[in-house]
Amino acid sequence: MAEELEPKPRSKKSKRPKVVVAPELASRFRSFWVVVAGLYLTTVWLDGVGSTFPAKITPRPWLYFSQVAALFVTAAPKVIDYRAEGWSCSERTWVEIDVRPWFRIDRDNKENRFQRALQFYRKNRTVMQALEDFVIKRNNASGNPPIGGVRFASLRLSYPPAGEHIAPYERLPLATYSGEQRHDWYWTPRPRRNERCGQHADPKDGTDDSDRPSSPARKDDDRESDP
Amino acid sequence: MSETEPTLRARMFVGDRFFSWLKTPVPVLRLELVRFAAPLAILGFMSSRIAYADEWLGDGGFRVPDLGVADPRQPLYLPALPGWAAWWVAAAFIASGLAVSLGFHARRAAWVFASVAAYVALSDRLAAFSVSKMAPVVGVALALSPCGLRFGIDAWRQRRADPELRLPTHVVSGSVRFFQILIPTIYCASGIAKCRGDWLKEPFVLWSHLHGTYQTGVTILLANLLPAFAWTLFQVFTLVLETFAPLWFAWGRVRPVAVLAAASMHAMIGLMFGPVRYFAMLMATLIVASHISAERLERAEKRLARLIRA
Repeated sequence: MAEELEPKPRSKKSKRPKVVVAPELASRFRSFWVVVAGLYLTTVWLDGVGSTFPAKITPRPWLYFSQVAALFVTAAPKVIDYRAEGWSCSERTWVEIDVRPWFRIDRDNKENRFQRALQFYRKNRTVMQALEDFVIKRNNASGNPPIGGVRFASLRLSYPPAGEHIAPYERLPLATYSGEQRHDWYWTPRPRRNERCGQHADPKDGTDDSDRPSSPARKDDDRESDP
Repeated sequence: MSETEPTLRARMFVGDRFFSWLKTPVPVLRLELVRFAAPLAILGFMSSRIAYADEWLGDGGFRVPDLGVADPRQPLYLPALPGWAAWWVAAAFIASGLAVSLGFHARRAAWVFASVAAYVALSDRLAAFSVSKMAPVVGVALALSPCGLRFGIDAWRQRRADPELRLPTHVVSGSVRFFQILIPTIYCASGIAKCRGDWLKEPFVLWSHLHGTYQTGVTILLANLLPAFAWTLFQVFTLVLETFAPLWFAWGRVRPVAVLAAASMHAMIGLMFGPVRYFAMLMATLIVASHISAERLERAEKRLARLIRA
């Protein structure tokens, strides 16, 4: 199975070759794979340095598998944590809901799929509506008090200046953070909440009938990195 | 007077030199280390997903709906599998990964491993990271290589059938060369991206990433122990190592230092950013296997062979 590269033994005692080279694998497609490897490496490099050329000329799956470089290229101005609230049908108010039991993969860090869904798609109405349906169904099926809508928000938390003491990250209830620290990205419009809860609109409830926030989008959430 | 190989090589055209380099035998351990450790690092990363395969790939979890081809974050829409099928895919992933790692029908298993890895990376974009994207690439490279010839179950069975059989100490493999180029390519691109990002403008980029849910006990310890300027020094060290990686890894004299520096950097990343530890393991495996000196690998191969009587 192997050819001897160095047939001359060093001593009389040992007649065995020291270096045994496995024969090359026979492949009619060797040149093809060399070209594929070259193209892959070129795409990795070009995409990593920020060129848009690969995105213009390569199929999306090819580009996707090439996007492995360029991690943590920007500073994180804030610590970002995404949270969910549900519209309580009985109390007619927003209450924090813990979605981690329905997003069990890496449930306590930002690689969690709920966190990723908000990180990637918080401005995409189609995905947010699908997420809304999923969370409401799971909540109402799990025996928790029923909810008629959801509100997804990001917490944007400051950290101490370099060299100062830091404490371990702790997940605190949403209510402990100030309004300045949170930004609402999506909420179920009132008519849909009322409809799900089987209630009539109350004029005292305000006028948030859009599922988009009126304030400009915060940039901090866009500067998240993940390997 | 006969000419030496380096002299001959120096006179070749670039293309011929490249193919000559491609066909030069390399220590078998370069390949066997990747074959053994890379699937384990990948499976380690996937373990938290595999444990909830029904949520990950099946209809038991949230799925991003089909957004059409216009969205770059969804390169290909794959619908959710029924729960039972998700568990079978997860089982195939584990079985093929372990088979590659143990050297049991390694090349065939590597094709299965690469196929499943590609499927899961495309199926759930939310749970896909760099390791997910590199997994099929590593799998295909192993499938196209003569991996599993020296250590592992297949090699052991061959040796058992014929005790006089000399197992290879070296291989000719384009896959090894691919891994050798892949690391500096990723590093260099990453370094340039960092230069274009905040790394030349902001002195505490590393510090800024120490505060979220990636934290470990080591992160807290070092953040509270080291002076502020240490984080800037780490930042400069990382930037220089990555940006000029092709030089460091091509230049024989500094290559050992580059290997040590890169392995140390990934060790620190693994210790300080909990969920990133498997990415760090994969990268460290590729760096050490691809770029550690041939002499060291040959010595290690002999010791290992004596140890396990292979």
